[in-house]
Amino acid sequence: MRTLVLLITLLAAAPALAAGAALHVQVDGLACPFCAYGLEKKLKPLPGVEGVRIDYKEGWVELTVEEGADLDESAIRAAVRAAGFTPGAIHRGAPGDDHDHAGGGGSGE
Amino acid sequence: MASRDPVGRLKRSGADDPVSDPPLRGLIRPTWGRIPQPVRAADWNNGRRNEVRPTTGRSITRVAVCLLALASLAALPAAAIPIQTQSALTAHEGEVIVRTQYRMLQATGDPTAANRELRVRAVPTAIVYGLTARLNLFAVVPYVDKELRLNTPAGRVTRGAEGIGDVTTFAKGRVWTSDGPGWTRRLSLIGGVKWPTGDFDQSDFLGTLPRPLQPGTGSLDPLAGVVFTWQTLGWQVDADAVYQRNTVRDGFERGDTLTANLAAQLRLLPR
Repeated sequence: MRTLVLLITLLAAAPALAAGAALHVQVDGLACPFCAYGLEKKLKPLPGVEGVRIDYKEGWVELTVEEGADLDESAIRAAVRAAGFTPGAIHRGAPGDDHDHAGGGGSGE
Repeated sequence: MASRDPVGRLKRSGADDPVSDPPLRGLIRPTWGRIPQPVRAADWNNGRRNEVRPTTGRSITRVAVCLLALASLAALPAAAIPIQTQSALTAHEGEVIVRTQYRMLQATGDPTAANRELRVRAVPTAIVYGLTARLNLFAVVPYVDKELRLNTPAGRVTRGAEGIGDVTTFAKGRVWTSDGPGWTRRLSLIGGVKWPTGDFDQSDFLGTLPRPLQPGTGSLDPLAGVVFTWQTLGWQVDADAVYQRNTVRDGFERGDTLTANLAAQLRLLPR
């Protein structure tokens, strides 16, 4: 019985492990759904990025990172800038967990 | 009546010449609210051309061409674009966008005996390349079809021409950005040239077509402008001012144009 429970637990956990870790990027200047598509096109080709989910209303991008991949923060920022937006804080975990990001004040160039 | 000057150009014999008169004088009011005034083409005096500057450029044909040219400049990244106004938003780095429009202008109701009717159809195609996220290059290629119907002593005639108009190339550089979550404010500068690629000496059975009916202007015209955009998730405001220096070609100058627009958009879906 204990073996069965362990097996089920491992099977349930497998997709989460395969999906890799999530990285959250604050992006300022995202103000339309189509803009989000343009940003996605810049982020998806980055090495190590498995998936991109954009919450344009909140200004957050969730990057699913391949297991073991070491995603360069500067590459993410460069991709966001190339898409025409302003990168903010980058951190692991859910948006808002990290308190040291710029957070809502806007950023100018 | 129209006759020919020594070099084969249409000669104006009087202000009431129904053929070479401006096609739409007094038909409708231009967008800036001033009464259209006659557009005078080149005067001919014993074969010598006298340069004539249209004082205010009130031919509606010219208005239509200006509208078409400026509207086609508004090729932007895949976001809702204003109909008539430029936007300060720029395409992404490496992105290529091809955008085309179909535009038609029809003017009727001429109270004079000429009973002129004008129809202008145009398909401007804009090609945008994002050199960087801050600097975009544009080429606007218009295809125009102009047709003027009017009464003449010989009966009702149709005059017109179609073909590739004047190509405009310009660069748009984003010089200031202020971004926040769900909003952006941007300021861009525009600079470029309208090239004399369209025919400007087409003729029909009555002689050389009046300049406003030609697909092109024949002149090389620099333009410059400034654009401001404020975009949020729910609405967007664009404002622009574009100045075009229209140079002389064959003794004809259309007069410089300064266009200022303000556009507001409200996004309905998705909210």
